[in-house]
Amino acid sequence: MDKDELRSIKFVREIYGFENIKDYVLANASEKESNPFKVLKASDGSVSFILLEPNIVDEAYNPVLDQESELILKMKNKEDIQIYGIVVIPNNIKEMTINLRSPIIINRENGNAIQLILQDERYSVRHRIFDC
Amino acid sequence: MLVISRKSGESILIGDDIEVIIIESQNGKVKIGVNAKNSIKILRKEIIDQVTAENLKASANTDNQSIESLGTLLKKEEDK
Repeated sequence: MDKDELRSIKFVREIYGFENIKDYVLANASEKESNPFKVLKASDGSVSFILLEPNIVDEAYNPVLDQESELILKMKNKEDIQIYGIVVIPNNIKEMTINLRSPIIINRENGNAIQLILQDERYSVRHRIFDC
Repeated sequence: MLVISRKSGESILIGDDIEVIIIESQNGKVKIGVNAKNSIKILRKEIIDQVTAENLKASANTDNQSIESLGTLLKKEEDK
């Protein structure tokens, strides 16, 4: 995604707890190019999430996408897939966590997205971003 | 809700394609095997509750002011 680019996202399997919201806009969180955070904001403005690419915190992160998910994303090429983790920012930002167990999967080609719960129990719902 | 008693090694069928087998039951813990097509999603129910709770927390604090400093913080961490 280019800097400042806004991208319309349609959740074909909704974010858990937000089943009534399907349409979002994805944008860079900061004007600074070095800032990797993204903002996923509901088109109606009712809610927003901060996202981060999981590979930034776990280089080996490689979730398996099941066939059913590929189908509902209408995925044609594996290269079209963009993966993000939802970030929780507590008051003490050093305790910030990313959800690696249920990533947001976006098909860049058509803007379809899902939140996928992985069966792989190695991945945590609350993965600490900072070691200390 | 349908309630069925089963012994270890016995199973039930849900529809034509899903078999639930009681493998062993000990000290209040039941080990269950499920035979189903790969496309059938099988999850512990708690995980869905956990994910929902995290999503709610994540949506509660997305103050953009902190994002600038977060980017800097993350950069520092990577440079270590």
